[in-house]
Amino acid sequence: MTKSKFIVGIFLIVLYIIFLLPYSIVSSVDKEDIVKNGIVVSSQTIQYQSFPKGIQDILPDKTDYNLIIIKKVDSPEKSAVIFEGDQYLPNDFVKVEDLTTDIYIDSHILSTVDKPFNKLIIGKLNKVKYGGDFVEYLTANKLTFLIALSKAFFYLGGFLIIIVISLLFMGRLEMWTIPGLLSSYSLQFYIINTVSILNQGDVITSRLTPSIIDILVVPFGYLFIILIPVTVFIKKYEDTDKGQQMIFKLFQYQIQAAKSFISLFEK
Amino acid sequence: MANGAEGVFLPGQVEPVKYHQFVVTDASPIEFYPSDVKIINITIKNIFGYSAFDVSTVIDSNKANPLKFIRELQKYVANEIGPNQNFNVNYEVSIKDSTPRGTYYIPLTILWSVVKDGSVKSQEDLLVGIKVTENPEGNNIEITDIIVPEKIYSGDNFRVKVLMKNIGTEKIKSIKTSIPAELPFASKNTSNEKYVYSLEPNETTAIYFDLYVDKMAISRVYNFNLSIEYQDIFNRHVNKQSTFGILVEESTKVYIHDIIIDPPTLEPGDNGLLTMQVTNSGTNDIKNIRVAIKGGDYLLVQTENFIGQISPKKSSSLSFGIYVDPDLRIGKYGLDVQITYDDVNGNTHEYSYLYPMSIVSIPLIPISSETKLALIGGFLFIIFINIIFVVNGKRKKERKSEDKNDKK
Repeated sequence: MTKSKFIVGIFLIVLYIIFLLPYSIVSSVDKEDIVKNGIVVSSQTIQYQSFPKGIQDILPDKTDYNLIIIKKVDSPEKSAVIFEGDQYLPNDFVKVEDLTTDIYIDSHILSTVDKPFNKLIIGKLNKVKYGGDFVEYLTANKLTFLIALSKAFFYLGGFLIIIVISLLFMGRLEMWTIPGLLSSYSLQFYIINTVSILNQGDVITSRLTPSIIDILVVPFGYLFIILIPVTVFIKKYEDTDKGQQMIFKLFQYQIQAAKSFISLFEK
Repeated sequence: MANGAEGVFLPGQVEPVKYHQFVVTDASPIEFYPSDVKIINITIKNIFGYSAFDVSTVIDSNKANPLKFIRELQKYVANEIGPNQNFNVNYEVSIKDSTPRGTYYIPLTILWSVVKDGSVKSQEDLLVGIKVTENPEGNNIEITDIIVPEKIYSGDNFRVKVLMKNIGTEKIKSIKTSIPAELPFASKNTSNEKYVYSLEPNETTAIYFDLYVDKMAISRVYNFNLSIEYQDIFNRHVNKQSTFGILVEESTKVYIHDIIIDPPTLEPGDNGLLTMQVTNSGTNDIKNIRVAIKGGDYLLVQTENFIGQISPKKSSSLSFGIYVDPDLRIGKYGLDVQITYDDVNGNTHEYSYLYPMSIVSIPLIPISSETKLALIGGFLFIIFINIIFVVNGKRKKERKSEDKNDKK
């Protein structure tokens, strides 16, 4: 392995982790029915009496409310958020929790709001603490495409980094890429879970009935601690004679299994 | 006073005169306050053409009630009062604490002889009027304002703000204020009495009464009595009353009793029917009920409907056809149901209600999108493993055959 290849490898890994961050921040405050996020487009205060009767009925208190229009970072969808508490300024990156209402609505129903929107949300509003400033910087400088790129990287990056490193260093796909692939995705979930904990307080329990995936995602996020040493071990072992023999045996088993699987369809 | 038989009066008797010899020309002061003790100076003039001798005055205390004269009810004035001559008498008048405001009369009787050293006395009864008014120092609390909502709706909670000022010169303690709340009103607190510990001169204080009105209250103006009780500087109990009115309007005359969606679950592309039951909960007929639904452009076949009339406590149903746009996103949609109607007086009212309508997607495989993604990821990972095995296994096989060829 040349020194330049090693530097390029390290550079790619660092780049990969940096590219994961924007989506990890946005994703940490985006969970269906639990937390929504968006960039503040406009803000105003509305008196309770100015709301239509139908919306008055679903407001928790008979007091003045703040209303902001937020735009999702990665889509053009806009939501009107009604909340009590401090007002927010345009370009703030905020999260909405404790959702009591989350519905698609005709924006003409709220005639006091001059900007169109798709959804009406009632909940508790807070600024995104960890990484919020970074997202605000990206949106203020029209760099939101980096968040979309980061999202794509979250799905494909783990695969690409392993393939590229394997081809770059060895010129071929080696056995260590199997645990290596799992390690990279495990690390991704670790990053996203950590940011979620920082921004929400917890990951699983916020959902009343967490799915099996919600539960498994947490231990999977820690799996890279074991998988990285395993990857290094396999890398070293597969180059030995014993390792080569083992690979060949496994290959033969695989061929046999494939043959018996195909014969099932032939019958 | 006794008189003799057949108009002949004997010595020592008193003869009521049938003409006016004396008149009261002045009295000072004539304005008194409850609990006052003052000396009144009465000026009397002999308007007759002859002198009056041995003139004296007397007050009958029994007839003077509620005024009290403590000392010297009978006073000797002069030996002779000539024609057109004035004389003055002073009496100490005491006004009872509880004396209500009004005009009272001092029953003053004048006795005299028509001849010098005459034994037969003449008598004339005069009345001296005095006014009893409120003591401005005792009248020290003024209700400066009563602030109530312009109108309230049945079922509402509301607050009455009473502003009172001490316009007297002395500090007043323990002021009790109350607004008796009777049905359909009730106090939100355990008592409808409020106390002010003390109020300094020129100090203004505000007292709040939290009340609520029954949901079934009939629409009309209701009168309330505000009562303020305290002890004034003379330690008298003062009770001030003030009346104000509050207009109660019926909160809703119409409401949506029920909304039924058929079928209960709707997917994009589905047809169905939304049936709505509108109820008149008021006490009068309502007419020209127009129902418009906003926000249903991609969900409903029609967005407006009409009912002619609904009698009190009756309901009426109306239906809207549903066709869910096939391209509509999955989620909840807020339908703003707006009902406009006319009351018996021809006034138009509005009622609106936000109905959340769910559009769902029933997948062929009942698993969440997250689980699907995880399964796809797992499947791709298995393929990846197989590719890696094939690539590495083939390489090993090729190397083995290369080794064999080399050996040969």
